[in-house]
Amino acid sequence: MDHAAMKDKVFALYDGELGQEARQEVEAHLKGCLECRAMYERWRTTARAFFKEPRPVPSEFFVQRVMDRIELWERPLPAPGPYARLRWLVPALGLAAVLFAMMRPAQTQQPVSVEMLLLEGTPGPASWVLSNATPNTDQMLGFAMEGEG
Amino acid sequence: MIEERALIEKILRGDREAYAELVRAHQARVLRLCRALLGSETEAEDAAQEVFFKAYRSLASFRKESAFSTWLYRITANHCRDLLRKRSRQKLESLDKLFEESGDAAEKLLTPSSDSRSEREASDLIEQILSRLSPDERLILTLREVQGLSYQEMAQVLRCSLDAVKARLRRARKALEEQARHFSESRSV
Repeated sequence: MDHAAMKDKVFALYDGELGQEARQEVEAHLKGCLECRAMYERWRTTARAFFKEPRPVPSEFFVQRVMDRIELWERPLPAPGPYARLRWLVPALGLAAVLFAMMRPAQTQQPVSVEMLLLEGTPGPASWVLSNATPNTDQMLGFAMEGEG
Repeated sequence: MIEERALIEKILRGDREAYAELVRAHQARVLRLCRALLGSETEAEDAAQEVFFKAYRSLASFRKESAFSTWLYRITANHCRDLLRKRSRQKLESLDKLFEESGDAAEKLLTPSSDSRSEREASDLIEQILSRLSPDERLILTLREVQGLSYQEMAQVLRCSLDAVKARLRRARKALEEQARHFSESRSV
């Protein structure tokens, strides 16, 4: 058997995976091969240093936490309230209001002047009518001019 | 095993409390594996809880050809491997700094007649070195060295062939020895 194949068997020996005949063969090889023996011992030391996990102590508290989590997951969701079925109505009404505001036609109005508002006594738009008695010239100015003249 | 199958049937028929029996029967095994893979006791407990929760949710998919423990190991291995992968993406520590600070300690850890060193420091160092392995390497070493699974059992948990188990184990052992050697050599330079 070649040396590379024997190295694999050395680890299998360490792992307890060999039958009786194979075990005897590898043990005999280890007695005569320094390299394989060193490899075996090196791994045994490394494994002891790195993998000495203490066995955890069983805990009823741990079991309870697992069962609590499962119970929470399985708990049925609360039943919807009486208005739950009408929840769709809120966004629907909002949308309808927006559409209604967008579609309302703009009202056309006549421009309202100050004269219309002040001289006409009736509610609504007023009209400004010039009286025939109103002189075309400014009375005050005319009076002043005549005085000087 | 027959009792366990009967218990699983009861759980699937709706007897939730019967699951507590399964948790009691397997909690030590699952906790031990989580602790060995994740290093931290708190993380290991949280992970173990999550494993049992996942197992309960997917109990209907458990095929009775393999042992329940094998199936549970598989869930544990996958969950811890995902956590380790997330952790390795977040790892910021510089490798050189780690070697520099811990090289001497690593050398002492591996010599048969090591000095007396506080257990906590040694355990921190072990965790540092193990964390340099890939999640798959750490998993297969833990299944073998901590859980004591046979090659056949590991093949079932990892869903691969016996030859693949042997090859992965060989590579993982080599990787761990190299990591440990790097720690001790960095101090002797």
